[in-house]
Amino acid sequence: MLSKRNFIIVLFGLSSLVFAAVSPVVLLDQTAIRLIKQLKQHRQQLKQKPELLVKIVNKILIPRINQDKMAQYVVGRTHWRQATAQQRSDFLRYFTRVVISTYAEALHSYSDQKISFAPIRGRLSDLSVVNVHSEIEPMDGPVINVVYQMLREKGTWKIIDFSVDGVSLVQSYRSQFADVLLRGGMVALLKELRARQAE
Amino acid sequence: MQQRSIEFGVGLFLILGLLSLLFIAFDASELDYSEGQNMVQVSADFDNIAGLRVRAPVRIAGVRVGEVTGIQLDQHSYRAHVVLKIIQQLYHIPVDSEARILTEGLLGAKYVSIIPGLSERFLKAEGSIQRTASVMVLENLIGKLIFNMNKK
Repeated sequence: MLSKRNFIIVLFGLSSLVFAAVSPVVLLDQTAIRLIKQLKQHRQQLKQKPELLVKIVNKILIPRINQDKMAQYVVGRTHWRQATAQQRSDFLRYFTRVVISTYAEALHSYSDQKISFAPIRGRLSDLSVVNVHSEIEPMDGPVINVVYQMLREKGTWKIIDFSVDGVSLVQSYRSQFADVLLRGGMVALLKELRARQAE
Repeated sequence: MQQRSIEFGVGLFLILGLLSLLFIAFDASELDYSEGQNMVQVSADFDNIAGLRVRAPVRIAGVRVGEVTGIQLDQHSYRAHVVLKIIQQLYHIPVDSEARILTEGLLGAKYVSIIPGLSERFLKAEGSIQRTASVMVLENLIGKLIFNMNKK
């Protein structure tokens, strides 16, 4: 016999499962709504404590991101395959922090911009990767175009890359890291990331 | 008699000139490139191809491995369906590779760049590259720049 509370939990679990399978747009939309709600709620505290933003990003956004894939694409085929398991997990940890702080910084300047997502046309069932287009409308100034590249894995859509006005996050980190990797491989890259983190 | 041989010489020179022009034209456009090689066909769907043309090169790590052979608009998804032909010997594209449209130089012609993914599985012939990224539209960037300049 299901208690009422459990029943609601099951219902919620199911609905999020269905949404995940149906449309990545809905998923992103929900995430954005939750994120904005949190930002509005904690507006006063955020001015004093920027660390709180990292926490919010960590809680709401990170579960929507496929960090493994993102990290792999940033490092690239050759270097990722040469890296040891330890190096891979180290890199993943540092890179996740980089992504979180990138996002936190972007959100820090958030002030009631409207965010809208374009629907995906065509059949989703044939695809394992989709690009979701979204527009951020600031109070003044031109619209910012953000495209989320999402991958379906085990029935859930997760972000593997996003680009702002055509500049992709993965691509820009990739070119940033490329010459470090060329000079000293994963060892050098990890050393540099560690140094950056320490700053 | 002497007049005749000069005329003959000029004619010969002209024909030679035309032939070399023809040679340059064909050589520069690399027409001979796809012939005599086995090609494999794959496809990729882009949100925006802004100026990519048929016969544009396909590159992996900057090395030319094939060319664009067809561009169509998908009626249902409103995306551009681009058909690529790739030389068979160079054909080993991991399934999670990404196709991007890039520009040669700042204002040059567009080409397709394939960035290999990490999968151990490779695309089959007639397969499609799922991860694609659209071009940066220069007009939008310029618009943004002008706007930001006005603000200051």
